[in-house]
Amino acid sequence: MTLAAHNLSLLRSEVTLLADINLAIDPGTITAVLGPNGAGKTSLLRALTGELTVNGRVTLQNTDIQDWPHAERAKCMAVLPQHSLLDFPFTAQEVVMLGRMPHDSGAAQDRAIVKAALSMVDCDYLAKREYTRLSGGEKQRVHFARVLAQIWEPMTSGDRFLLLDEPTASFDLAHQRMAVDIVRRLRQDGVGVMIILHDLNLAARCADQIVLMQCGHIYVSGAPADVLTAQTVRDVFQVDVEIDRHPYSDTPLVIV
Amino acid sequence: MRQLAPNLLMLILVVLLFPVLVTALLLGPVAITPAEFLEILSDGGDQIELAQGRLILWDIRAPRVLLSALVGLCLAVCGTAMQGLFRNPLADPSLIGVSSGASAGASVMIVLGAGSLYQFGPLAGLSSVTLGAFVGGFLAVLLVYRLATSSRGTSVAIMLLAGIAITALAGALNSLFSFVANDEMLRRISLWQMGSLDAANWPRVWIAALATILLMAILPRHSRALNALLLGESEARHLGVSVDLVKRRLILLTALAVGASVAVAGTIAFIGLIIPHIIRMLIGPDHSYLIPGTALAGAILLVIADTVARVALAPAELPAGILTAMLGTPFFFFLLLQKRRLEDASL
Repeated sequence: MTLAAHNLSLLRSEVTLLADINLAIDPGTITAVLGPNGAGKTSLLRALTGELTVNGRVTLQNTDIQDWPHAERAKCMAVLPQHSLLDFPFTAQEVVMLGRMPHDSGAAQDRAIVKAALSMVDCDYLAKREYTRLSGGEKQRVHFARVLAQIWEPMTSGDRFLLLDEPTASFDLAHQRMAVDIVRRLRQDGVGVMIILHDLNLAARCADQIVLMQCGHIYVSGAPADVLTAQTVRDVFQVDVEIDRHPYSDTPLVIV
Repeated sequence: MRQLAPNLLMLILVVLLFPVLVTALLLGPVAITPAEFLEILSDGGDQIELAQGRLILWDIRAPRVLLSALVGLCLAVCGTAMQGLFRNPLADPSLIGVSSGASAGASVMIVLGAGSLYQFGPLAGLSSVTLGAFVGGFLAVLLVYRLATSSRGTSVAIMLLAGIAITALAGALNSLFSFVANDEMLRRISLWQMGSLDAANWPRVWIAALATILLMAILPRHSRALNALLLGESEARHLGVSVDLVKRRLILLTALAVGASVAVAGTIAFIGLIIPHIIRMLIGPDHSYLIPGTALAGAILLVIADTVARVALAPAELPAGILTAMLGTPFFFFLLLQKRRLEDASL
């Protein structure tokens, strides 16, 4: 039971946005997608959610993503975009409550889940504050809590997936670490996670699979130690780096 | 900052609505005292001395007050839906071209001088101008909607732009017909554009009631979807909302309800803009409260505005549209200034 891309390609006005993408995101694993700006990371994410119509097939639990009723898909797949357009004065807890929309779990349970999700992203103190008055990092954490609330409980009917587009972009150091801890906990609970990142070391520390993209292609993918080499980083980012071992986790450590 | 619990606001508005309606029924060039009012209500139609009061109450004032309430409700609720759909707190039903299309339609009919439709049974009491306005408004929305819709869905940004273009085109048509109109037609056109409820009669009330029933039967079912849409269309999709279906329904419903309102009462400004604003400031943007709240508040405000319009210069009447705009514009400036101050403060 997987979220999988089969031979995806996408051409927009003569520009290749995606080409020959084959990818599987298994339940209970973390896939980190890395690559320079404009490499097609967000396009890939949007193709996986069925939002972009592409050539090729995206399947969620063996059913074509386009054939899933919206309401059913929302129960098992949550997506956190890079930016939010929200400009209305909901309170933080109301924003998180929107994540419970696909479920019929009842108001009492929803409230408990919203509270727990807010506290998981260290936002208890924001619950009753107006979203529009929060800082960039706080807003991003509130949306993080929203997608967590959306896939909070295990499903009887299948696996859960979480797709995150640069969730840590506006996080401080402590909250970056918090995000990694949360994602790891989700992996333990059997959630399939795809996360777009710019921090190679953050990716190396949490991912089971790293997908390195360049110009719409997957340049290389596999275990962090196989993907993150001085050679691939130079090829994709045109930056010379040294690769060492992380002293505690023994994952690759990229030294710029 | 929120100032009221949503349920408390609903209670206040419901409690307010009743005395406002009754007061509006009593006030006018010929005032009816509460005692007369009760007598007319309880009387079976036998007392000759009550005949004048009965006539004023049932044939003139009741349809007028009801029409004000229904039109105010439709405009305010459609404003709420549009602001949610366009994720823009400054949106207004007229943005998608309904009002300007309707006023062009009305001008065309006034100048072409088509008579009234008395000969057609069910449409008796509706002038051809009303019909022209409704058709004009609906055509304008249809055009805007078709322009903005491609195989990839409806683009909200293109819809706003197309709405502005249609408004300009309809404005030109309007001017053209005003140009060829004679003095009497010109006066009718300009009075119509000011928006007024003085042509209220029961057939118009039924039309507005039908639009209101449709609106309030369907729209509240989409209040959760509207909340999700405030996050953005793709987020709403990720939350399980069938965005294209919801958009299509809301736009059609708004076109219908605003089209009907404009057709029976002319263009009444600012209710669709300020009522959603005020209610949102009081109770926050949750549409499950916002829709009933703006419905009640819109009805109350227009009934009050129309009552003032009838009484202020009695026996002459001000068009209610003038009053709502006079009330609305200063409030709108206040909102803009406050928004600017907030933005300055957060820099």
